[in-house]
Amino acid sequence: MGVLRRNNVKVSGDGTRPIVFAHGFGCDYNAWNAMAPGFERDHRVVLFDHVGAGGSDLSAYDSGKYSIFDGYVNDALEVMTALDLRDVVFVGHSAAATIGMLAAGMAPGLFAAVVMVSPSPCFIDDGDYRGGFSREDIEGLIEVLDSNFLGWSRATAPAIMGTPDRPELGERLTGSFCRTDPDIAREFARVVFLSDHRADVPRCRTRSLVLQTQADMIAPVEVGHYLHLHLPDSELVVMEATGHCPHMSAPEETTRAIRSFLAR
Amino acid sequence: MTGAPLPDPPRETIEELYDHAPVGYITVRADGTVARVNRTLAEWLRFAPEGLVGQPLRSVLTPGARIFFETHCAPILQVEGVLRQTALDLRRADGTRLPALVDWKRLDDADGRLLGHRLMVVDSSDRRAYERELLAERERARLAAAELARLNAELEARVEARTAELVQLQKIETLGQLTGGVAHDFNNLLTPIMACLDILSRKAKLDDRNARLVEVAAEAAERARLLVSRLLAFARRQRLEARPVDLPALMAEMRDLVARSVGPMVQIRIEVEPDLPPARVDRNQLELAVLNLCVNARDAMGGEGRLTFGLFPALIGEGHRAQLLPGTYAALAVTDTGAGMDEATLRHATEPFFTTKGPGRGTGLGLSMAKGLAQQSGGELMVDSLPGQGTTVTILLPRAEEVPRPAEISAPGDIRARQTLSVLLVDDEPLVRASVARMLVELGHEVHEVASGPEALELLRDRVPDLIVTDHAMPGMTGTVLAALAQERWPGLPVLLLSGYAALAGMDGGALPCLAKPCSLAQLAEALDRALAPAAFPAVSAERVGLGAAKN
Repeated sequence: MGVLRRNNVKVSGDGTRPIVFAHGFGCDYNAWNAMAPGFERDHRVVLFDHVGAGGSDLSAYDSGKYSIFDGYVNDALEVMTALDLRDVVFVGHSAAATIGMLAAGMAPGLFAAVVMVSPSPCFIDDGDYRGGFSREDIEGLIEVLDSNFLGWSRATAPAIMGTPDRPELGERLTGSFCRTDPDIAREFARVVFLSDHRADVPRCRTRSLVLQTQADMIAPVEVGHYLHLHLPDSELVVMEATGHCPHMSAPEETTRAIRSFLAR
Repeated sequence: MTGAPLPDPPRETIEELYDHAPVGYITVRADGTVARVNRTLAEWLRFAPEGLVGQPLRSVLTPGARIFFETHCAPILQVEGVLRQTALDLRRADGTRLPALVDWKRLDDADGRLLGHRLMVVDSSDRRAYERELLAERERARLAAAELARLNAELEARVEARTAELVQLQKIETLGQLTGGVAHDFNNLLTPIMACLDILSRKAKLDDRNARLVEVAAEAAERARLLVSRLLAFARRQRLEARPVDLPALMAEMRDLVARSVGPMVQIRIEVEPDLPPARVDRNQLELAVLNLCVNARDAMGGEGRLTFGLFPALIGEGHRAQLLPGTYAALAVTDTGAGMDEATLRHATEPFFTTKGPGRGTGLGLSMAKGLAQQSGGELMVDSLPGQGTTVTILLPRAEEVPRPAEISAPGDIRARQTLSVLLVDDEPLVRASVARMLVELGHEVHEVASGPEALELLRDRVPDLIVTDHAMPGMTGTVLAALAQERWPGLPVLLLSGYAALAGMDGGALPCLAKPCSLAQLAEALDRALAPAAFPAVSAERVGLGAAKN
């Protein structure tokens, strides 16, 4: 099984400079539908799904490998080397922002810049650090996840998802919502919301942009400031957009912020 | 039966419907704050309705629900504007949790700008509890399935191991058949060698040197005969002279021999339980088996320890590991205080050529020969052992119904027959036939030789000899069938069967006197006597060998 098939990699665009978009927890690469095409005229645009999400190869899912971020970081680096990408602009949303930060710390030579959209290196409150949640809160998330995925398991949904004559189903977000395997979603939730990668923040020396929105229910504004403070070479932009997904709710503003960062 | 028409419920205003419908209803502004909430939902959340207005919606979601909303619901609402039956946890004013199902619909103005969202909320406490039970049940089923898979794998591994053991057993069986066949042919070659040597040593006027040479050759031939008989024993193909044997008497007689075999540092005990029945077994072969067991015991004890012979009646029931027909057997247990065996060694202990002794120290045939003897006699051999705790080998033998006679000791000296007999000798092997013929002549008898059963019957049509001596294993007609047909023509005609091996139907009960080849002159003379003794041959009925109804 090739890396490109495993991670459902999609490459487009006329430019030479590679820009890689990585989705966060709960989505697939369709989350970038409102933004990615805007980069195609001057970039080589790479979209991919994390294993367990969207159109990735579910059989490649390995509880051991993906029980920590490193499994996903490794996959992202494999996608980049499989495509022979250099000077990559890595745009990661939420969990994928952490993936990009860790990957750049591990293989700085591959990266030109890391854009972190609504990021958080640690969601759990710890002393003076305010991540926004407690461990019990995350157990509550797991229960809500279970309740929503009950009946949406892959066993009951493939009839809808595997219909090649209705590709629009796969392109719609509800499609990716349905296509999330409940067990994988539960494990991914634990990785994303229980990991603490604060110690890795200063190791990412790649030029970074932290995009923070107003009233993000998940990442408190303090987390944006924390990252900006501890990333050695970073800029912080607090956007007008609200919510945790500005790339979907405010794609133009997000694109503008990224383009002006890259232009500097 | 009719009654007064039932009164309609009172008319409701739209406000009453809004506030008191049995579902929660809430309107949220574009910035996520609550614009309006119905009384039903406010009561569920234990707020006054006006207490919620202006609050951000996130304040009535649990933290877990907030994450789920941001990661899963908001993106879909963004793209599609509608979301159905989302499971979310609401937070009541007192901090407790209300599991709910929420439907969302986006509100736009005429230009398509977002105004906010309408939410309908259903209390799903019961449903959630049921879901948790369902999930717990699924988890239990998953664990049970995993356990089942583990057990299945274990079972498969066991079957595989058993199959491997079975293959090993089949190999041994094949080895046994091969060994039996080769030993039998070897036996046929030994018969004339021994006979010729016997005659040479008796008749020829040999000088001392040549007499010694013949003696050495005869000894070697005797050793070869012993080795062959062991191989046949392991192959369960030996000709057994099963007779009633008094085991305590046998052990008493063997005691000196055993003592010499195991050496002075081994203490010997013989324990006999009352009511021990006589065993039905080949006495000579049993002696050999016991000696083999003693040598094994000696080696296991390093020449020092205690060797106990237990003789006792063994009551075998259904399901006993010996897998014998239920009944009382005579047991001979040989127990040493030696090193014992681990499970793996024990499993292979009775396999032929398996030995723990160094090169040149053991053939690996002792225990397998003893087991072969026990099984061919209608009994079984069992080995019990633990490392460091010694070994017990138990031979179970079928009980004899008759009373054993004291061992007959053939008188040395002249073994020539008291009277000359006319003997019809039948054997398809010319070499063997010639040597047996020579021995018969040597004993003073007249011999007519033929090479097959039909030829013998042809002769028997008109003439009756004093005795027929016939090989058993001949192509076409076996010696047993020949005997039956001959006795049909001449009832009471004595027949002596010669055989290299005979594990054949019709020969297992000792119905006809038999003599194992090769044999010495003395053995032949003794066998002839047995064949001629009236009690020795209960008529073999033709029915028994499958030739139709017996004649009286």
